[in-house]
Amino acid sequence: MPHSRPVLGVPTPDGLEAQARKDLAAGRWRQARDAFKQLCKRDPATFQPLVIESNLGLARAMLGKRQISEARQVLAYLETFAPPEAVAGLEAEIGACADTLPTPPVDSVALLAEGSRPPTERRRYADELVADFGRAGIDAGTPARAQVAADLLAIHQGLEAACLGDHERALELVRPLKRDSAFAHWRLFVRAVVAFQRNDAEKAAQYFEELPVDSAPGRARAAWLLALGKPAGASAVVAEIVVEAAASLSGHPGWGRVLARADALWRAGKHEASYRVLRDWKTSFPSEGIDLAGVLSDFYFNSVFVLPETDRMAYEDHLQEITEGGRGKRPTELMLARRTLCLLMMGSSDDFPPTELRPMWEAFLRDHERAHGANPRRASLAWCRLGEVLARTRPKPLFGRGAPAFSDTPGAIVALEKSIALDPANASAHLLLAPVYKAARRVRDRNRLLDVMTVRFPNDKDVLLAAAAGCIDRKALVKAVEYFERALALDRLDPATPNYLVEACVRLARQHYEKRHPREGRAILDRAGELAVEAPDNFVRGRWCVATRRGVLEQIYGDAANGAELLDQARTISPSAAAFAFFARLAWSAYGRDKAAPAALKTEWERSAMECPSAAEATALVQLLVYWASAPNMRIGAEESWLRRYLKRAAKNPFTRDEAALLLEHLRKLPNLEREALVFASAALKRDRADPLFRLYKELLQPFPMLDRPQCEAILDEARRRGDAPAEQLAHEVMASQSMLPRIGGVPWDDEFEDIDEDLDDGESGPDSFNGVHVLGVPSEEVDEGIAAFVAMLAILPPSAVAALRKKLPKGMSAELFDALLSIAKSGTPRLEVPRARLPRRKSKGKRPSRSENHNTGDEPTPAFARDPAVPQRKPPVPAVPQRKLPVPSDPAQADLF
Amino acid sequence: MNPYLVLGVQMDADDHTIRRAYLDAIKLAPPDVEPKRFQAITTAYEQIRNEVSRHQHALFDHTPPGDSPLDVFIRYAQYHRQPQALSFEMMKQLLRACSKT
Repeated sequence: MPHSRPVLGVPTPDGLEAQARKDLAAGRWRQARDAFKQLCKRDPATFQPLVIESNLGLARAMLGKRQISEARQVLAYLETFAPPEAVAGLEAEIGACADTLPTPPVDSVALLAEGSRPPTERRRYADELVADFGRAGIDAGTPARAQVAADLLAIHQGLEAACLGDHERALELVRPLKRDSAFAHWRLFVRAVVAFQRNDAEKAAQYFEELPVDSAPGRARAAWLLALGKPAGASAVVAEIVVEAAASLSGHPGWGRVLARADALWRAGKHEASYRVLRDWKTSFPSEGIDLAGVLSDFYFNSVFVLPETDRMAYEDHLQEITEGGRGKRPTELMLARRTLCLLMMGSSDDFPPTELRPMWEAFLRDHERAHGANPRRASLAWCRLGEVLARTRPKPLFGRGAPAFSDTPGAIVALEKSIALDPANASAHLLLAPVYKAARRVRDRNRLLDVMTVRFPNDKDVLLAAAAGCIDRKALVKAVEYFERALALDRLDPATPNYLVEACVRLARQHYEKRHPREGRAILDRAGELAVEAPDNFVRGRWCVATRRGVLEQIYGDAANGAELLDQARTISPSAAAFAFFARLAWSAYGRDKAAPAALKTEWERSAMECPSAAEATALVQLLVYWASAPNMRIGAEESWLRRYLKRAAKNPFTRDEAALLLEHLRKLPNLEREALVFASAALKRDRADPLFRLYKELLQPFPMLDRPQCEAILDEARRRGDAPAEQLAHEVMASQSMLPRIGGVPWDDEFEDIDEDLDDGESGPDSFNGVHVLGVPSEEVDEGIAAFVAMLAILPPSAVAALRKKLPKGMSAELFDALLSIAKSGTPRLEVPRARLPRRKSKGKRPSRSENHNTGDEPTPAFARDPAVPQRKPPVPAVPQRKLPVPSDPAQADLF
Repeated sequence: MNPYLVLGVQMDADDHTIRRAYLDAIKLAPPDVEPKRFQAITTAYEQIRNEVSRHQHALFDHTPPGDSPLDVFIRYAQYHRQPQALSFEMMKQLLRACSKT
């Protein structure tokens, strides 16, 4: 092959490399070896593996010609510089080859000719004869020996013909073999090989499966089965040869040994080493194609997602090394490594995405564009995914309540705006951006975006629902109803959309009524009535609920008599008198503002509390209250008091365990009724002290629950033993929420400390503020957060709760410390400064911290969004009162859009 | 497994080509005869049936194609069937090694 040569006749380094690679690929081992040796002087890291490869190829070629001593010399040379694993295989092959020097299996022929041996023995002798290809001939002294010689020659010639592709001749040669011949299985083997080469996979597999497993062809068939895509049962000893043969059979010569080694390393848990074998030995790896190198690249860059945790971390480090300092073998490797790392970060369950996510994702996109060309649609999807990750909400820590915060609001906005700019048809990006705008208080941008969305995607149900939600925020209820109607027309099977529509209709009707347009209000409520369903527990569309709302609105704003009639109709179709009365009362509170309810209704409400209160009925009433509590500007104090009285009465009547369990499950959502819930829990425990569900409830309903992990686990074990799934689930929720509580209870306040030292002015005392790192042995951030939250909570607890807490202090907390924290809470000091006189001192366990190591500045970190000058700054919120001590289950909100 | 490999199309194939390949593939592997293969073909088609799904596959798919390098080779061989003959030398080596076990 011509290549460029300078005038002096010495090839250029590039030309030499190109020629060397061609020689290597063509099997001209000596030429390739000599060229790579020269190139190795210039760049050992790149060319040494190729020197090794060419020497290995040369040694194997020598083995093929039975030049064993020459092959040993090459091996000795390799052993001076090649890694041991690179030459281990060659060593074994030389050994195997040396062992198979022709030895006249004279006894085998005689024993076969004898004909009296068992079949398995005859097969073994036949295998020995066939595998000894070097035998020149057999002395056919007797007819039996002649038959053996003829069969053996037929098999040898048949195999050779099959290898040369002369299928007909191969089949013809083995046809005369008799069924009782010791070589019969070899005939089957030849037929199987021919079927394989004729691409008759089914027949080939069938023939191979029929071979006796304890014979040579039965073991060799593993290579063909692998090439057919069937798992093989080859033993480890011949694995490498089998894989090499399989790779050759499937058109990938030279892959087998590398694959076998890489596989062995992977199965041994040496994932990085496995990757390196392929990386160093195959120039085409890694790649993105649909060839073997591409598929293996898919494997190595995606397996990290399914590895066990410790292995995954190590493999991530390996990928990180590829991306750092440009150590990628080629741009493809760098790009694939970046992609994998970014997907790992995106899939992480951490609340905050790592800071390196965005720059690495951008770098990956640049690499991808360079490799595949620019594509705005693809880029839009990529940016949209980034925006989605940055817009992930993170839960409030400790006792936090309120709206969830986004991980990185400004970053999410930038990413999603970019996504939309690249592809305006990307509806997902629009839908993701709208709530992010809302979180960033960019209401105008959000409204503008919603308007654009409805024009761009007029027939997208999710877009219409989002637009309707925006209209409700703006109190543009007519538009909201229109959007809900369009969404319903697009998908009549979604049960949520009619709920939204009815809610919007009711709000719009109320608006009309308040503006003294009762006719319009009635028309809208007629539409809501069309969507009503016969479902008593659907508080939005249930027919009795729609009728009750209508009656209440009519009574308040319209015709009182008509309203009373409507309420009578609603009463007759309601599930119970108490439910109707309670619903009507709540509706009146919601719609009536300061208008007093009629006396008759009031009497009905009070009377229904007297009539047969029960736990089952109480559950329904609690559900009603929970539903109405979520309505905007709703005050439920009076209704809570009413329900409290109802529950007190219901607790005195008989109830079953299941009724109590269901009631408590719903009462969890109403923290102000915990005392009443405790009554039911205590009553249930009187019947069964070990009941795990009510044990949990009883602990959690205390003024200050401090259920520790061992107690929780004991209850969980009992729940598992009983098969009590709700109790198991509650225990898991409690343990999960326990992990978010401050570690006050678990800190060894007393054990590790000396007696309180009044004089802390000895230069070795703690800093002004409380530094937990060196005093308590826990990270200061956690202790500081925990202490701050505890103090904030003390500041807003009522005196009775504080007194109850002081009587039952958290585990390990002294009364003195409690008093100190309480005095801080009462003083309203924003910066946490524990008085020195009460600061316990840690036993000396080494170097004490210097004052400069104080991590507690008393300031909360600035949230990400507040660093953006475009976003108005506001103070971070104070941890709220822990009104909910019980983990709150997700509420299957009937109108969660609102 | 790489959906392009499963369907036997190039990576720059368009919607029509991919659909054609899908229909041809399921004719050869009906669900009642080869349910696993049918499922694999259908999954592959869903992954690359249109431009958006192809981009999403290229950007975000992270399903490993096998449990180990050899397992990947076996699965690859199921879809990339181009049977070759062994050289006679390699045949001898293989049979000698197998006769010793």
